[in-house]
Amino acid sequence: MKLELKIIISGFGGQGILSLGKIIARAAIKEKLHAAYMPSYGAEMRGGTANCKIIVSSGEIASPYINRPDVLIALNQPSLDKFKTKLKEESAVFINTSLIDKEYNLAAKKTFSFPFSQIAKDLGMEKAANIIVLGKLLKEIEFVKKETVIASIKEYFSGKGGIITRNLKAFREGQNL
Amino acid sequence: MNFTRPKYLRDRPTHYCPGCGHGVVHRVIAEVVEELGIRGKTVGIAPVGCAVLAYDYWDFDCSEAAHGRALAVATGIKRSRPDLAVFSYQGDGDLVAIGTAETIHAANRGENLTCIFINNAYNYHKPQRSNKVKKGSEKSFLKSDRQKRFFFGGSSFSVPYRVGA
Amino acid sequence: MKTKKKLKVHSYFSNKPVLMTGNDAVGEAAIKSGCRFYAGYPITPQNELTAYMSRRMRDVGGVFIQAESELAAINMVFGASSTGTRAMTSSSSPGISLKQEGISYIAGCELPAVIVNAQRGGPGLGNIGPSQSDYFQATKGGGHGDYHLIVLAPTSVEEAFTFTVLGFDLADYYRNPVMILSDAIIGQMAEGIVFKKPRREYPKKKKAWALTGARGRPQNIIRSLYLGERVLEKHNLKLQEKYHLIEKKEVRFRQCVPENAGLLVVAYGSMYRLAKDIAAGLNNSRKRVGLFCPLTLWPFPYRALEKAAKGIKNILVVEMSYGQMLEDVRLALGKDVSISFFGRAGGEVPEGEEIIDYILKKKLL
Repeated sequence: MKLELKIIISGFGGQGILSLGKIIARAAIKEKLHAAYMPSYGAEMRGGTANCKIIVSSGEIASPYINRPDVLIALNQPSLDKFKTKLKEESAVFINTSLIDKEYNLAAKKTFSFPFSQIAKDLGMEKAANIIVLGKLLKEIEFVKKETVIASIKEYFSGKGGIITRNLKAFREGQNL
Repeated sequence: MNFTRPKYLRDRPTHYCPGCGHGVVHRVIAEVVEELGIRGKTVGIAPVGCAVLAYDYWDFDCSEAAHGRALAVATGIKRSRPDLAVFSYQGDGDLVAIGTAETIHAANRGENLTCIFINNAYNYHKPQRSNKVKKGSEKSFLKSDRQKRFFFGGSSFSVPYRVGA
Repeated sequence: MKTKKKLKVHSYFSNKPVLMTGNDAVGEAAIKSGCRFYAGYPITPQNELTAYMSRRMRDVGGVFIQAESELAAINMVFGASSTGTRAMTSSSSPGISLKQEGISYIAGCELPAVIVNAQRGGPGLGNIGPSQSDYFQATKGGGHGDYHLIVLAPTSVEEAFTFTVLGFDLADYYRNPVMILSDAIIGQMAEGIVFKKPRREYPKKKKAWALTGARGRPQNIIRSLYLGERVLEKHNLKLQEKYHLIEKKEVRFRQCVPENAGLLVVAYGSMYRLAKDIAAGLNNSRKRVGLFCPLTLWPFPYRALEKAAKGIKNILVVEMSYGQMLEDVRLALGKDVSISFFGRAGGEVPEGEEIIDYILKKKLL
């Protein structure tokens, strides 16, 4: 079955934007899909819109740049502001209501608004908000198997102590939302 | 006193001016290589200046280097082949004008190199003032004994050089 | 300094894809190609490559030096290469400018070396965004004298890997410096890559010319200075002969030209990826878009491009510059062919949509 998913993840530096992107990309290549990951280190860093673009596809990927994402993960207000004009009707948007209060009339019909940062804080793992989002994302759009993502999370945080357990917990939390 | 030509100094006339000290230093180097028995593992790096053709006068492996870059080239050679005895042969312009950065940094990294510094004024063209270190001011930029030993390796010889036009 | 401990070289053959950035892929390719000397200086967007080499060189007992400048680094590569060691340096546009003197010397002395340029916005300090503004510098100059760099332009992370492997082989085989011309996009993007064993296309030649200590043999001299009458000319003629041979044998390109193509898009490196998206967006049964991608920028595929463009009404060159490869395309195709150009530089990346708008506005299709 043909799969092509264009994901933009955006937030401020420190929210684990790039980590999330790499975990997704690695999960995709584990399942022998094509993946392209493109971090943004440029001017977009200022104003808190550090972002990365991930394309997951069953076929060869041409340009790694995304104009209109299928998925937007907006972890802070400037990120939603920046990318909302690029949304299509079919786009799925994951909104971190802990840091986003204005939702606007988005072109996208599928929105998933949760206080991801607060949920993470309540679980005692403030930095794992990104993984909670990942859990929710995979629940809504199962573009790879759950087991593959779990393996990818384990691999990414390997060697960093108890962080793996905490991140898997965050992932499960996201799946339950 | 030894008046025979050293084994590793080639039997060809040099292009140096009569009385120039380069010939003497080239000879001394050849004698040392022979004495230490290291012809088979010596690499010399020639400068830009009158001694640019130094490799035509020695009989061991040699390389040229761009003006001032001899110590960077020497670093590349020595780090790749630590078993070789590597030396650079440089004048004022090469070592302390254009090459100051490479010189200081090679010293700072503590590269295991020999640098023969021909410490006079520029002499290729009309006499020019060189950037050579003023006597006594060495302390200000050479911070350790290690660097001082490295830096002054060759300049303790007193050899005549042409100073007039 | 080489140690006796077990050295870690990742298993060469692997069916498992690994997520790697272009910068890291270049580094891993260098290690797997036997590169055991790297000197570099930090500059965005290739810092990851320098950092990668600092770790991997230690794994394999090679030499890593963070040099005091890009200028020192290229001269260290000169020295390392003269001993017969496979040596590499990398930088981005402003740093590559600093290396031009050293590159000319490396070419004049016929030393093998691999130089990686992850192009960024310029001129001057510019910015850290991607560009393709160093095409002229790489292919028409930028150091003094009649020499050429073999210039390879990867379009993906996988090609960043395979072209680096190829680069070392070409450098050794022809005794010539090779440039891997990438950019901030190829350098920083990550894709899955499988380390496939490359076919050995070039026989390994013994480096009898290297400075290894003249034990039991006459001295070797690494030089580019030839003062005698007509000696330098003779040396240059020898170099020219080499370049003609490379032009004959080492041209590489990729093309995809459908039968009734109305437009041919010519692009290299990361812009070829964009061109593929554009072609996919525009292709329908009546009007078709062809693609031509030079993989070697020197030697440039003049004849192949001429052949590919035959009978196609419009040519569009897309670059992240204000028209550098464009000049070689004009040279290849002559003034009777309609050649349009779309370029954005200054660290900005063209968007597929704006190029499609341009094509439709100019009625190129």
